[in-house]
This record gives sequence, C-alpha cells and structure tokens, in this order.
Amino acid sequence: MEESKENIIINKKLTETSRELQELTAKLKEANDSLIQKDQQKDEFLDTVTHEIRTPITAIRAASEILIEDEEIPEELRKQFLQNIISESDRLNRLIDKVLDLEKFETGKQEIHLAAHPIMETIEKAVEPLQQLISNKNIAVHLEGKATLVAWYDEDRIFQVVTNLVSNAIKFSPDENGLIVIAVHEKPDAIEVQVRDNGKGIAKGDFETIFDKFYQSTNQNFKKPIGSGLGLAICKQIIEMHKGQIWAANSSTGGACLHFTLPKKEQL
Amino acid sequence: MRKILIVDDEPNIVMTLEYTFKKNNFEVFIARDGQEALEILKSQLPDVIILDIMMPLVDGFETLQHIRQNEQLNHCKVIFLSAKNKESDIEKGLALGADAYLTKPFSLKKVVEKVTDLLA
Repeated sequence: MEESKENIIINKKLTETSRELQELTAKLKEANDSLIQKDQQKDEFLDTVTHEIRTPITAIRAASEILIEDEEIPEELRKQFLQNIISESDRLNRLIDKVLDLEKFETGKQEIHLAAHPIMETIEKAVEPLQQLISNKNIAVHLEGKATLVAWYDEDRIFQVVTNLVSNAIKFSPDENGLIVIAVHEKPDAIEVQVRDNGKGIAKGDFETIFDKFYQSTNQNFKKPIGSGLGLAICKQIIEMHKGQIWAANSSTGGACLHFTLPKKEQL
Repeated sequence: MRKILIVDDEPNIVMTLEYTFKKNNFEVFIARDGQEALEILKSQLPDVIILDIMMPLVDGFETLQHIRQNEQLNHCKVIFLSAKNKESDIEKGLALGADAYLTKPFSLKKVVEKVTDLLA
C-alpha cells in the first residue's frame, strides 16, 4: 500500500518533469530558429552591401583604366570619366555613411539630443536642399500645418528622416504633374507628420517590409532597389529612438503616404 | 564590323565599356535592362552580348533564357558581367548557357580579351 502511494507520487513528479522538459525544448527550439533567421538576415545584408559597394568600385576602376591606358582620349571624354570617378566615389561614401549610421542606431551607440523644436521649421530646412531635384522633375510641393506646432526631438536626426522621406517621394513621383504633400497634424499626445506623393503607391504586402534593410519594393517594377535601400530602415531606428511610430500606407488617391509621430514633450 | 550589345543599368559602367569597344572597332548597342535588350534583339543580331545580372524589369538570367530560346541568336556569344561573384551564381549563369562569366570589378583589358577569344 505504502509502496504504491510512493509510486503514484514518483509518477506524478516524472510527468511534471517531462512536461517541463518539453516546454524547455520548445523554448530552445524557438531561440535556435530565431538565431538561424538572424544569421540568414546577416548573410543577406552582407551580400547586398558587398554588391552595392562593388558597383561604384567597378565604374571607378574601369574609368581609371581608360584614363591611364589611353593617351589619345578626347579632352571632353577625359573630363567626363574624371567626373564619373568623383560621383561614384561620393556614392560609395554615402553608402558607407548609411551602413555605419544604421549600425550605430542598432547597437544603441547613437546619442540623440532631445529638445523642443518647431517642426514646420525643421521640415522647411530639410526640403530646402532638395529644391533642385524638385524643380528638375517639375514637382509641386505643399506644406500644410501650423507654424506654432512644437515637438520633442533631435533636430539633426528628424532633418535626416524628412530628407529621406521627401527624397523617396521625389523618386517615386510621376514624371509629369508630380505632387508631394507634407502635412503636420496635432494629435492628443503626439505630432504626426505625413509625406504623400502621387506616384504608383506601395503594394499592400509591402507596408511593413519597406522598413527592412535593403528591402526591394515589388510594386515599382524594379528587381533592384533604387538608392541604397537603407534609408527607411534608418528612419525607423531614428523614430523609434524618439519613442514615436513610423508606418506606411497609400493615400486615397493611390500614392504612397509615409507617416511618423513624435512626442509633443519630454517623455518621463 | 562586329557588333556588341552591352546590357547594364549603371550608366557610368556602360560608358567605359562603350568607349573601349568602339575603340576596338565594334559597333556598339546599349540597353539599360533586359527588356530593352530583347527589344533591340528583334532588329539586331550582335556577335556578342555583355549582360549584367541585377537589373530592373527583366534581369540577366531571365534575359539569357529568352536569348537561348531564339534560334536566330544561336551564334551569339553571351558573357555575364556581374557583381554577383558567388560560386552558385557563376554555376547558375553557365548552366543557363552563358559562354563566360566575368565578375565586377573587371579589367577592361580582360573583358576585351575574353570577347576576342570567344569570337576567334
């Protein structure tokens, strides 16, 4: 009798231990799967960075080879090849800056200096250097929002975000009758900024993935990203550091609409 | 005059290849992606095609598949010229029927040598 009682207790304990073991195994498997996925993402990232670095190096190397080998090259072409070397070097440098930026944000090494700033002023400052690109494509840009609106952010970093979103909007605007609207609204506990264009818009399945590193948009009919493919990933990191949100949608007229929010005051 | 079609979406790379092959007495045609290349191939029968892989619209692998299905282009030598330099990419390119696979960054001298070899 005593023995069977003991057996029951042991059995119970064994069942419990076995259940715990099963749970632990499942957790381990989950952790392992996530590590494998991260490893794959790292490989893909490295692959794409390598490819993006090799392209400008190829142009620089080939132009240099012509300049060094060919003494009869017409002056105009010689200058053109030199100009190409400069612009491809700049492109390479921009890419490296972006990769380093992203790494700093992801590892939390990037410091941000938060303070209250008038958001419309920051937006105007960010749009100003893009005027040339805007007029080259004959795009109309509308800024909507009260000049008195103030949000809590690092001005250099939000300048970077606005520059990026507006550059994207310029890129994806149609060749004729392009229109970009930058609208700022006050919400109960945040300031929301929208950047809309009247291009083809974003494919439904891409609303979240466009913020991934080196994501290639499927809706633009391109198998290759235009630009470095890092801009939106960096924007996401910056906005999250501000405890804001960033998301993509299409506007009612079909163009892409990128939204982000910033806190109105210091988050305690 | 021998004809070459250069298919690449990077204008600064194309410019160096165009200059070099013109200097080597080729008639040069240029396409910015696979679709443009296939369009040009409807009216031109080049001796050699230099084909990038990562391009908008129709990529290099797909373009080569179309080329190899067209009997009129049977004589055409195709060289992949790509920044994709993994063993698996090279194997895929050659398995699809490319005559050679060169990687970026390239030496223009070697590209010309390879083209000359293939046409010999």
